[in-house]
Amino acid sequence: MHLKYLVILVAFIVYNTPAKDVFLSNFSCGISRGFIPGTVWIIGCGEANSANGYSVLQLRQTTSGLEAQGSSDFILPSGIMGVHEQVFYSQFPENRRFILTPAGTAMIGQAFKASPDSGITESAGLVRILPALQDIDTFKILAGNIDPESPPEWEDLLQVSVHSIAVDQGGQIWTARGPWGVARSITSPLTWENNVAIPDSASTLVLNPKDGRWDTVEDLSDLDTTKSLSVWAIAIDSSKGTLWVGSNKGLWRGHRDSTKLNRIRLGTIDTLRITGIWMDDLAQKIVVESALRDTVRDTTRVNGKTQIKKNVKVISSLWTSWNQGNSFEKVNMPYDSLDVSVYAVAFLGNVGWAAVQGLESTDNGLIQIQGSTASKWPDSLTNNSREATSRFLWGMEAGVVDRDGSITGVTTFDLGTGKGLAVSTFGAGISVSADSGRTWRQILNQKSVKTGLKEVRMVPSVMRGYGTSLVAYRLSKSAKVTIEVFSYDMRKVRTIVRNEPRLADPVRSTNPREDIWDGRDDAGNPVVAGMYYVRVKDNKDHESWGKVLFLGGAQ
Amino acid sequence: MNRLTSLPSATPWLLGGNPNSTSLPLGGNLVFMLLLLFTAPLLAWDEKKANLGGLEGFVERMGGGIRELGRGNTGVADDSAMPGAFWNPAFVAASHKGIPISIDGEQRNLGRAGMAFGIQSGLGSRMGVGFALLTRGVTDFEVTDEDENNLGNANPYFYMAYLSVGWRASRKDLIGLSFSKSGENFDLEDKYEMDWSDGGQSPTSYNIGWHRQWLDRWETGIVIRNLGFNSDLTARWTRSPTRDNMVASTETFRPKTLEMGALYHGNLQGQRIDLHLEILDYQLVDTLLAFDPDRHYWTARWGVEWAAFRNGKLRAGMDSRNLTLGCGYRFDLRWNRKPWPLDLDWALVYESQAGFWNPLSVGVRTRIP
Repeated sequence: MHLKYLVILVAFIVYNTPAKDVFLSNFSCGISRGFIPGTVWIIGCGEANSANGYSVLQLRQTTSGLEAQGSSDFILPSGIMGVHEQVFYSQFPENRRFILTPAGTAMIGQAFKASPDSGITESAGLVRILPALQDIDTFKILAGNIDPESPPEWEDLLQVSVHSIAVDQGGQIWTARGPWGVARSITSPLTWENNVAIPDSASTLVLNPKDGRWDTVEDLSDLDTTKSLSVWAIAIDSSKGTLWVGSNKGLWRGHRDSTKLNRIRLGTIDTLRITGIWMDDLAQKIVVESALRDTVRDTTRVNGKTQIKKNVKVISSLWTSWNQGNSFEKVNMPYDSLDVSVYAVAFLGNVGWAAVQGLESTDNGLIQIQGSTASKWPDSLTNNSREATSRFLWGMEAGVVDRDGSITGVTTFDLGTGKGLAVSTFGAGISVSADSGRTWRQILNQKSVKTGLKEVRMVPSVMRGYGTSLVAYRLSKSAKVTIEVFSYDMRKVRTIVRNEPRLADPVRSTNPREDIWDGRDDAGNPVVAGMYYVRVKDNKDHESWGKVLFLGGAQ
Repeated sequence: MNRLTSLPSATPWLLGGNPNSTSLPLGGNLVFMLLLLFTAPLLAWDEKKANLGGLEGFVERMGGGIRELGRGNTGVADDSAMPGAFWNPAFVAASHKGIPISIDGEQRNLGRAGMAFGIQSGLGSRMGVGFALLTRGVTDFEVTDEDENNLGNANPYFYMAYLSVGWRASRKDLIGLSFSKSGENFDLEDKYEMDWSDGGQSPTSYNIGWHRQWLDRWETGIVIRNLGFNSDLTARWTRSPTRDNMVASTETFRPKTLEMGALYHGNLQGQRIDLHLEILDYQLVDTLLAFDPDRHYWTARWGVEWAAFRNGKLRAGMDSRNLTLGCGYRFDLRWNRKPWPLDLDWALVYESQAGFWNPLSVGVRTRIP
């Protein structure tokens, strides 16, 4: 290991305050490999302020599998967020980004904060985490003006946030900011002073659509965004200095020092809206996401009058190149209904793993891409007949996660003996694989419950209608359990499981896929708000009760 | 006045025997047994319909009044049931001396606690007014978030309040109307960063009741609960736990309920014994009227109250499939030279579906002279 990394690792361990849990939150929005081999960084986006920040885990292969050994947390200052709270609801793939990337001996992410004037969350620049110094700070990059009297909608504010970051070999940082072009650090690294980037330490570049030339912009308030390209994605091959730029009109390529880029054709079109670019460490494999915007007119009649409403429909496509970008092929998605946006892509061998989310559906999972083909997960994983489209999504049924929780990111990390895969989820911790995705291990924040069925803990104990609550319990010996839900006046409303086998376990015996309550009764009807009681009973006459307050609104 | 001594002798077909007999009259016994036979299947059958536990109104279903709880949670036909404004709005016009007051408290398993308060008074010669408050809450509810962090303890509570006015329509008939509101407070203000509402409340709904004294041994009562001021007559409202929409608002309603009760005064071992029977019909949809049986839930309650010893009562009953037992004792006190009766009641409830025995239910009834 390089001496530099050794020093950092020692400092990391010496100054490390052991995390109370494995990481900040089971709700994570993005994951990245760390700059220290064997580490992964996770963006925590739980609801509590204390769950808003970053966690770093050291992963090691042991005889019992991949385990997290050592972790540290970095909580963002109050009011600053690493993720926009509406990112899951954006209809535009370019906005669905969770950004965290290594840069030298630091990690760089994006920052958001609520505007003091409008209260709407807007981009606040970048976050820099220096683990050796246990330091986390934010800095603002040159920004345009937002009129506090009439601030744009959150979706428009997301458009001018940071969509992509590329870190060059010398530590130079390129930041894609949509209509506000690209911010490129001049000094290396960026000069930080009072949390504001000094104007001459970064320059703002915009791409001219006519000839692909870079134009430097001194003051973004003077920028006419209709005359320059919006940049949604950026990537760099540091060894060759090749810069890749994804814009609203095409994919561009050129040298980092060049003042001009060349447009790259994808298929028969060279003006596709490019919303994402991901490449492996050697820049041999590249995945590109394009997203066409189409305006659809919906005609309805209300009170005898015809109303026409314009809706924007986004159609996405994936393109791959396995030859350093010399040629691209469109990935054949299995069905039209699998229309997704990509959170992140990781490359392992000849396989690209894309963490995806449906654009207008709840489809979520990993897509495994080989060449220009998306692969199904093996038949051996399940005997259930499922919709054909879902067989291409690697999620709970493929064993990637063990419970309901959207996959939000994917990365590879150094295992020493090879590379591992790690996936972040919203609600199910992280999942890691040491065998190229064949089997997965879940790592979660979990608190032990008393053994012998002496305690039942509902997680969470206050349910809002759109969620579920996990029934956490622990058996001292394997048994068959029955889990039932009762109302306050002790009327049984739901049988969750009946006489199902569960194993004794050092932490808990809960089956996270089945031992959950969704706020519905046996007939599938949502119950009303109130206090409910959950009984777990085994076939040896042990029983225990948990409480859950349901606030209503099951969907 | 002892009703049994005033029985006319020309009603053998109903009483089936000597009204002064120390045993339960056969005719009355037969009628009552037939009613019980008819309703008995309902007692075992209350699981067939939609899940009542998932609907609004558990505070109301658990009742109010420990004396009434001890005899199967029955009271719509007994004009001395307290709180009268809750049991049957007509009761507030019954001829009670003084101002009846009742206070009841319960502590059940799993930290469930409840309280009921009732007060009523005559108004002129034919009217009466009354108020009732029923509350149910949870003590020491541990709030845990999605990351299994303990955010503290909360004490959520739920309540129903009734304001009733009644009239004596005739020598035998009482009618009444009560206005009711329900509400809750989840007690989560300091746990989550949301703009919580200051306790949710339903709009005002109303209940109508009728009570009749048939001869001297029979009383009947009919109550229709949870009517709303809209075209469907449904007690419907929107529950919005937070003002910032962090928790979705939901449309909800309390099921319209038809409660019919009969009370028979008998005689056992020379002591008065009262037999109560009630049938309840819950309409599970928020339309005006639904005739589809699948939209209804029926259940029954029965109870017995026996003046087994001087100033003392023994009680038993069943509320759906929950067995109840109870007892009470009257202290004949005096206040300012006026008789001041003080009744202490206790009940034991067995919640059969959960397997819980709940022995901590105590109530006090009295009358301000």
